[in-house]
Amino acid sequence: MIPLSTIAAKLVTVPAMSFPRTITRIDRMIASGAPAAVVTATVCSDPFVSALLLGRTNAASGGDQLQLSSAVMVIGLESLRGLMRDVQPLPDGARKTAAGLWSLGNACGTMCRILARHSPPAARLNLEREALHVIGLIHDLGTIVALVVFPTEYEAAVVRLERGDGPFAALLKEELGADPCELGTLLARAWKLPALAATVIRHHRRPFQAEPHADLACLVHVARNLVIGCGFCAGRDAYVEAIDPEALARLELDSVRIERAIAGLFDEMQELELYEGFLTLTLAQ
Amino acid sequence: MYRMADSNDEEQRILLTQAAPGMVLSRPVAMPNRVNLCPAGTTLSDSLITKLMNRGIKRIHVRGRPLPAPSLLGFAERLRQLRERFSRCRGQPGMGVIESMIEKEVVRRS
Repeated sequence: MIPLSTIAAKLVTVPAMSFPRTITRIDRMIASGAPAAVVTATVCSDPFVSALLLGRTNAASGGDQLQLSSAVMVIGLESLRGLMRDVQPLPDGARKTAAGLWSLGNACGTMCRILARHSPPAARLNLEREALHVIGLIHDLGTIVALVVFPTEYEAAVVRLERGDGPFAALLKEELGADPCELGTLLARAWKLPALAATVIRHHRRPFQAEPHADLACLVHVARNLVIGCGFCAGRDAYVEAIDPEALARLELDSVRIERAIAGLFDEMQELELYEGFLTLTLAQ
Repeated sequence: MYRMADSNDEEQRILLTQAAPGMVLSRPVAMPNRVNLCPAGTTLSDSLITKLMNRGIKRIHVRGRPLPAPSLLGFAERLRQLRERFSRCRGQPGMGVIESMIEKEVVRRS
């Protein structure tokens, strides 16, 4: 176990990481004069780079920017290119698991948008579709951090998970001293992510602790576990955790609405599930 | 570099962001106004992919099946994985119902 203060100190200097192809591609796109919308579309398939961009934008503008398209407009494409130079390639050994986590983020973002169409309380949040997607995309930053910054502890927790010793979050807490929500919160603080995103990152496993933002935390909680159930697993943690029935009730999601949302996810992810991370894997094999 | 699939008969529709150098177009790439940008049989390069992105092209068809797809898993294997994913929460309120909903969707799409 590592003391929480040591973990926090380590996260202050942690660089963003991504698949080498993503880093190269974004750089080439900006160099060749690609429109901002095209560059943004590539950035927003990557949870780590998206979080970095949001954090830098918020630190610079002092606002609570949750939309990547606006963030790109605020800092400009050349600044984004400079920011991408700080992004390091994911270590070889982490890419396979990272591909799963990137996929989970994309699926969860998509499901948040879909659920918001079916849930009246979520619709009343008045968040833009893009903001909902981004919050779902980056909600599990903590597991990404565990994978790339604390690989030994991550591996130990996974081995025990596969033995059936308990849920991944509790095992990581025992091995490392912080669970994924705590790790994500520490990174959100270090990177100056918007307060709303930081709250959801911290409380998506126990959404009612996120008041006054419990509706949004419930949305991410439900979306996350539904997409894991559909096959978009959290890296090597392939197990669905129980969805809090109170969260479903709060979002007014009955079985008909959930069924429609699941069908909608399968439709939308038919192509997105094959995103770049998996391609990188294929090429590496 | 991407390795070509064995079969030339197969093709896969992919997002342009998933394209890699070495993949071969199985259909021409055209603008919405039907102006052709690349003929079928063109081998993709990084610069060509970037140019197509800049033209707003989102999807292309490539030869073979270069990308792994969960849908390629056998039906029985997909159901086995589904059961495994829910194995630690099935007894919790409502989770068995949600598992059944996903199973129904998997069956419907198979």
